[in-house]
Amino acid sequence: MTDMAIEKALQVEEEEKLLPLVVEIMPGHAAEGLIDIYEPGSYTAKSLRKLCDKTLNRKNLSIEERLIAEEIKRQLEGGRLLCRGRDTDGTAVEYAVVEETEAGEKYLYVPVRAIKPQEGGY
Amino acid sequence: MQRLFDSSQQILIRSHDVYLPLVYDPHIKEEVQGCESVPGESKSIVRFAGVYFIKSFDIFSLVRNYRSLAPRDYERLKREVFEKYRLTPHAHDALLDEKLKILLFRVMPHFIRSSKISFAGRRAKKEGVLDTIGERLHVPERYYRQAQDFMDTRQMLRSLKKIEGKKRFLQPPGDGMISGRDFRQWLYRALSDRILAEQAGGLKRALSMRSQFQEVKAKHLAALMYITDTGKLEIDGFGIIRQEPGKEYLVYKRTGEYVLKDYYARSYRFPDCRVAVSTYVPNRPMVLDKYKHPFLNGFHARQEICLKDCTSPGEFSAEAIIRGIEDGIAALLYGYDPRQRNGYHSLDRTWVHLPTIDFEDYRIREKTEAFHEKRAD
Repeated sequence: MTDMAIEKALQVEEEEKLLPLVVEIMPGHAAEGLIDIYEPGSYTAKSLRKLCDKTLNRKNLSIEERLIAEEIKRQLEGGRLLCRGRDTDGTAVEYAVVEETEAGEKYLYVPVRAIKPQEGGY
Repeated sequence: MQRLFDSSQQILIRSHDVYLPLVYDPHIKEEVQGCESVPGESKSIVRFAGVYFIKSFDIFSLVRNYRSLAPRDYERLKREVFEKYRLTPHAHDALLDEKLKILLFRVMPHFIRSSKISFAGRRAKKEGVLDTIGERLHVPERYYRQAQDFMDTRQMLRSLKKIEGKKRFLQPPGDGMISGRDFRQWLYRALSDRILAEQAGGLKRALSMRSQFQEVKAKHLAALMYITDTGKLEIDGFGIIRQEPGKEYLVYKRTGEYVLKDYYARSYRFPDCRVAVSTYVPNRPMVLDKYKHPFLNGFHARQEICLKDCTSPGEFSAEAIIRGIEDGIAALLYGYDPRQRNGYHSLDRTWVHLPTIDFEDYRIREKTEAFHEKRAD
């Protein structure tokens, strides 16, 4: 890797650290879930699992969010949280990808799924 | 029956029943005398003006069932009525059947993202399902024209006004003798009345249905008409396919590619497939495509996924469909236990390997492994 390439990669890494983090917990294979937004710096070194627990314990949910939370709870009975097929033990940044809002604002996005195991076979 | 109507043959009307002349011969004489001797029972054979008549049919039943008894004659009469009153046949079918409504407005929103993330309000204003459909489905131009015609109710209102202004004719012929031709005239008037009443009912239902869509934009209506016509759609990996005949549907969600590991932690990349349930049996998810997987018995299309427990209740509902699809996808992606090898087939070849379904072509080979294999060649 050339010096310039290394410098660019570091610059991108630094820029990403300044982005807000959006964690979305979806029940099963639903397209939408519970969302929480973390300001830059507030999520560094925290495990994704811890951030998910915080989201799941949130109060003051809207009616729609309450329905989603109930479905997540149902999935987690015997189930677990997975992010891109992996457990949520690592830091949130490890799982994040950069996305943009319609207004062009960048953010780090972490999709988490609450999956109830469905045993197949015999 | 047509010969009867075309003749001057006399028939007897009594209490809305038609009595036809009884052919009287020595064989029937005894039977007739037997009927006459039973007092107090409603008689199927009566004597009028010295002639025996036998009870044949109820006149209102004839009117109600004439369409089935003489379909060609009925259609001809219907055309004459439409011509006389200058009516236009309208399609009175519902725009969406009940199942399709549930699939579009309650099942699809679960599987499709309808709004983007916004920092202002956590999530931007939710698009309606119709907005989502309208934007992501390519609807041919002619459906936009059909949508405009659909909402133009002027002709329907004119027709309905015309029909309702007509005097109704429902009086049955009085008791007594009547010729076949006169009876036919009465019958056709009764049938015309019935046709007009049916047309009025159909127009009212059609107008009522159109009033439900008054607030719907033309582009949304066009999309709904397109879906009703084709009986299928796919948006963001979620799809619906109507099964002919009847109003049952297959509802599916694509899995995307995914990776499973075998007993030795080697990875296997599985291609995308469609996991579907039928609205007829929502608790039996299947893979629509030609596919192989440890939980599928063979390597062909439309295989039911082997599940231990499906949480979907058996009867059709939005929840049943969602649960059925979720269970199917969860089984394929997360249900295989490489230690237990809990499927019809094992990912890795075991020492008691039976040549059934093989997954070697899905293996993701590590670079070093590939290098050693190449050297061995």
